[in-house]
Amino acid sequence: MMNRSHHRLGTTLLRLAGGLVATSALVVGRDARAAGFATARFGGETGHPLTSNPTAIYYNPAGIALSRGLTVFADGTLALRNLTYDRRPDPNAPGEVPEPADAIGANTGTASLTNFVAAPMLGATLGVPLGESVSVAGGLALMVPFGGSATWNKNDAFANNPRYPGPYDGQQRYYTIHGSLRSMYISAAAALNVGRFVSVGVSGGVALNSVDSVRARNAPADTDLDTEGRAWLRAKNVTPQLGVGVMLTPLEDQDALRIGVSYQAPPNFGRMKLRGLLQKYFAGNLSGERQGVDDVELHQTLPDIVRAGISLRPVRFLELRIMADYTRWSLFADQCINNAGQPCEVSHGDDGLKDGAPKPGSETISVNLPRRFRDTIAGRAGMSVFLSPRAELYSGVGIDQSAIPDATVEPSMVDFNSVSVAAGGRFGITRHLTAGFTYTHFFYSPRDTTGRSNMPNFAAPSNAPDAGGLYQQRIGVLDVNLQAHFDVMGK
Amino acid sequence: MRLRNTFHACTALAAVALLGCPNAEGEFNDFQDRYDAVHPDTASSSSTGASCAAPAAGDADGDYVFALSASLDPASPVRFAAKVATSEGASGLEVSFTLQALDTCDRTTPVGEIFDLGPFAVAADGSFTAAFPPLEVTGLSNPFSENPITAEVTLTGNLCAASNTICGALGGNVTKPSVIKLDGSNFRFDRLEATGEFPDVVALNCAGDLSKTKLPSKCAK
Repeated sequence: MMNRSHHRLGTTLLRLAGGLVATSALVVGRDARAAGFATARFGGETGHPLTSNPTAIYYNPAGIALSRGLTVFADGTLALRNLTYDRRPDPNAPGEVPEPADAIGANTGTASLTNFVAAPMLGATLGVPLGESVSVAGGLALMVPFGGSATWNKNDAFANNPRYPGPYDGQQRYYTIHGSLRSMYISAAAALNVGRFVSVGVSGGVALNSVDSVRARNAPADTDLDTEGRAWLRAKNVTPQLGVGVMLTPLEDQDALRIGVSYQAPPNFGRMKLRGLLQKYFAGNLSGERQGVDDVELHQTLPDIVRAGISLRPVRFLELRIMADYTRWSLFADQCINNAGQPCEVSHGDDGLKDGAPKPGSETISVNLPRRFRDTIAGRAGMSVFLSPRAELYSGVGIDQSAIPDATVEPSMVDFNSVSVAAGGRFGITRHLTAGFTYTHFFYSPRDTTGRSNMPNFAAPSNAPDAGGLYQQRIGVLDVNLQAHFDVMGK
Repeated sequence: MRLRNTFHACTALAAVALLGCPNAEGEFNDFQDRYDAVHPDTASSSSTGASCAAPAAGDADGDYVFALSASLDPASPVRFAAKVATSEGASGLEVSFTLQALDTCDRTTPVGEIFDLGPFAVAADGSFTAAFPPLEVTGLSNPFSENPITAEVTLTGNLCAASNTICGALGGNVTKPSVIKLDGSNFRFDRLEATGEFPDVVALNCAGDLSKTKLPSKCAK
């Protein structure tokens, strides 16, 4: 039974965690980990499909069956991201209008962003033994496994320009000026361990999905500075989400060898529709009956993920881990926007229609953003050294594939092949409280897509200006967390 | 205590939900401010033309190309094959129009529905106002996308004697695929030299500004 001091500490931790969440700008650096805009980095080196801490609710819910007592976990992922895009369009690309003599550098040259981003994760689990060979556990968590946000720097050469109001927002503006896309999960989990050998778990709940993005847009999707306008989309929805997992602990010591596999279904188990508003400003006119507001739906499908890993402790003070995940990013083929209630299907050029053209019945599509992501595999190896029961040092190295092909990479959706290295530690502060941190640095090789962007070649309404150019990115991620543990069931 | 904890958790969740993206709206509004500063009076970009003497009935009749130049990209008009017919009505001269959109990618092939519009009264000074019923034109004539367009437009212009041109201001809204105001838009009819021979470049307004020579990007493939 939890005593009063434990209860006060738990309450304090919950408030602390709530404050952390409430004061964090929930904007998640794309590419903070993994491919596409998967950003599940919570837990740092201690968040993976072999763990039994509350991050397991997402990574592998079977893991919480190995926990005992009440565990409360508050985590913050803090990232500093620098991205540059040197726009080098093909001058003969459809929709590429030459820069006027008085606006050289409006549509070509280097745009950049430097953003500090943060994402919270909160979780709690309660593990209860039901005898010598059976135990159960439950948990609750809040986290942001998918997300990305970016605010680009201004092109000061065009500040207060007397003729062209658009270029001030940067050379990347035809794709993004400011934007965010995220899925926040609120999950409950349950897990069962049988015979101290096998654990199974399931987590599920809701995903709060949202998009908020403003970009430059011309009616014909070209780069004519004289007719440049703006389009602002904000949309959201709530969908179900589900994860399942299995953990094997074949040795007497359950920490000595763990084998874990998990599956995280796509939010809504497939295609989702985010309902919202599309506001446009063209030629001095706000479009729409309600001062430029359309009632629209954004159609998209996020990926599902399979994770697997093995951890081994050859000696008590050393743990080795190897993990991989397969993310089915090919599901994220298009982001299609149409009037609410209308279908939103575009051709991929395999049905006699032009690639990107609306399929029959979808002729009223406002705009389609071709993504055409591809499936990715990521791998990670790590190790922990236990200096004492209350002090652990860990490190890791990982590789990630880019989900985005050259044809569709653009400044609002940038991805790279990457190598990352991480180091950190976890230390007991009090008998009940542990603090951990991980710093991860991502190394990206520059990506030059000059001449390879297919964006202007898609049929309307999927076409957009040439997104070719040189992309370079630098990201450092610091994960910090506090974990409180209470042996509420006694020994 | 449990209720209080629940309250704190809910407060945190609400804060998370609200803290998503505070700047998108600001960026959108900032552009409007910059645009309006550069273009202080958008509506003045359209002109109804100079007043004149109206033609005699029948003088202006014939085949024309009609350019509907929307303000969102004036140099990329929706083009129509047009027949203009004038007659004496009960209260004076009246004008009627027969319109059929042209394929935006070849600029010559009539596509979609034929619209018979009018008659509309023409004043002695040549001025007229023609409020069209909703026009639904095929996506083939849309210079921006494959979407069909529905527009409710009003032409305010002048029909002048001894002129091969009818021009003026275009008002109203595009209502599909999305609602777009047409304030600041223009129209112009130019008589064809030969029936069915449509020019690549058309005049857009009373000032004689010309359309783009390059085909719309949607015609690239």
